[in-house]
Amino acid sequence: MFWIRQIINGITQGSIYALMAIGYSLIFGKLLLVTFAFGEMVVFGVFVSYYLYAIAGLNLFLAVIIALPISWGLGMLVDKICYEKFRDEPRFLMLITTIGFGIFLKSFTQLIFGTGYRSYPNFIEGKIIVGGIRITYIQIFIILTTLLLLYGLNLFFKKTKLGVGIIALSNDLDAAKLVGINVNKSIKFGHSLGVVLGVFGGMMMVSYYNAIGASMGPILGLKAFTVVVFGGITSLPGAIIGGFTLGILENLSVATFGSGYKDIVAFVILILILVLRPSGLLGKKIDLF
Amino acid sequence: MLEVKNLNVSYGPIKAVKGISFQVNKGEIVTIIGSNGAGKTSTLRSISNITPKSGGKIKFFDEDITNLPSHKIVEKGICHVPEGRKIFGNLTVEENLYMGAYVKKDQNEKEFEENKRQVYNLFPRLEERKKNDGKNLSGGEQQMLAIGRGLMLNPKIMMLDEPSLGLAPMLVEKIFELIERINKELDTTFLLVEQNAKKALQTADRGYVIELGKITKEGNSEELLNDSKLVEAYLGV
Ligand SMILES: Nc1ncnc2c1ncn2[C@@H]1O[C@H](COP(=O)(O)OP(=O)(O)O)[C@@H](O)[C@H]1O
Ligand SMILES: [Mg+2]
Repeated sequence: MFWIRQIINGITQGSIYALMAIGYSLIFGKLLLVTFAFGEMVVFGVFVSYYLYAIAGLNLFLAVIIALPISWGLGMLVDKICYEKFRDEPRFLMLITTIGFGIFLKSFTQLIFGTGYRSYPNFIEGKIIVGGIRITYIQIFIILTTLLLLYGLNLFFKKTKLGVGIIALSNDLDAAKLVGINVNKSIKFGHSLGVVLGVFGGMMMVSYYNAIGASMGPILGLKAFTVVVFGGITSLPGAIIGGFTLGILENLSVATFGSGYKDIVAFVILILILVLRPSGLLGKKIDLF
Repeated sequence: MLEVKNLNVSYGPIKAVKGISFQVNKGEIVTIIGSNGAGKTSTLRSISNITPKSGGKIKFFDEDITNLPSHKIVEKGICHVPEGRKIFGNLTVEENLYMGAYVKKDQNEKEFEENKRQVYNLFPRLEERKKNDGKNLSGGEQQMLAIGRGLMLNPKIMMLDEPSLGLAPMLVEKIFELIERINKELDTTFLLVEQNAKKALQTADRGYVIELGKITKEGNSEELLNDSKLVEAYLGV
């Protein structure tokens, strides 16, 4: 029973990681936009929903629904500032612009929302008991929402012109331009989509753990990075597998060694993967720099 | 239909194309021949606007397209089959053809199928391999796919960058035959850039010779093939 419960916790956590990692993998692996501001963007977007809910007094779902397009806009802004002018330049430039923007965004978030941790409400309260195992509604909500989104994303990348175009441009940028893909627009769209997925994952995470702090950005960014490296940076299915794997392993380790060791799991995985299989589970080699 | 005036392309301090001018008329096959590094690829890439120009003017059917973004240029019906094919390696042959029709906004299933049939009739080999990933095709098949993908656009003009590069002599022969066939049957105009000067001139109506970023000779193919200096320099006799 205990272990089944831990695995359910792990799958919930894994769903959240999977969403964030897909966002990250889309940005970093597919669009080849080096990002060191991902976690900061996620935290900012989540804080916007917190602000709308706790301070402006909106209904939580409404707050979330308004915060997502704002996050989309943030994605557009970051593309404009950090990437657009540097598309044809060496990639380390993006490293610098996003590190800079990340620092700015983190400070900005702290300035507006304060430096302390705030409590973030559950999307849904309550639980059911199935065969003696307690499952909370928020867990069910998170897992189902993630599966639905993954299904929708799969359709998007297979069936829509914009989605297929993003896959094509990640395959060969020149060829994408030469079949008439508006590469600039597609990259902007993909980047914002990645940010929104990350923010939505972040909202589910803070709703699951009930806490949010402006300084959470870097660790979130690193976790997403780890998951994506594990699955293979260029592979979206890899990001999903990586997300669930990390979620489950983290929870099993908490159950075994106590919660103090939770974050270590991710970094042990990161180091092992980088040493043993740098292209990840399903990824292919890319030359980023 | 395509008119290039005083085109310049630079990479930092390197001047790759130094004020070249040429034109292609409707229905023609025109070739630009020149050795490695002469500026052929830079010329085509700057017409498509995937490499910036440092000067010059491009007109297509009397419309100034010099500063249009690359996807708009494709929408005009200008197809560029790049050097090295650049097919989508992770997509299947059929998906590559689908990508070729990317800008055809209102194309229905039937038109798409018809175009695809046309491509498969020209390149039966592609139909045999339609479920294979692009990266698993041979060099010759990739070149066919690159041309086939371009044809899905129903282009008004096709600009081919060294289609014969790296192909076995028999395949080279075949590709040039197909270019002539497409030109006749589909009434597609061609701008053909080649190092293989002899084959290119035998296929083309007219030719330009480019050396170190400048056009040094032009004329109809007969004339150029009979030019003794040119024969010495490029035709390897
Ligand atoms: N991306 C680039 N950066 C710097 N120099 C380049 C680049 N591409 C081409 N060149 C230079 O421009 C000149 C013309 O190259 P190119 O247009 O590729 O010629 P061709 O296609 O006729 O072989 C060459 O000297 C080449 O070295
Ligand atoms: Mg070339």
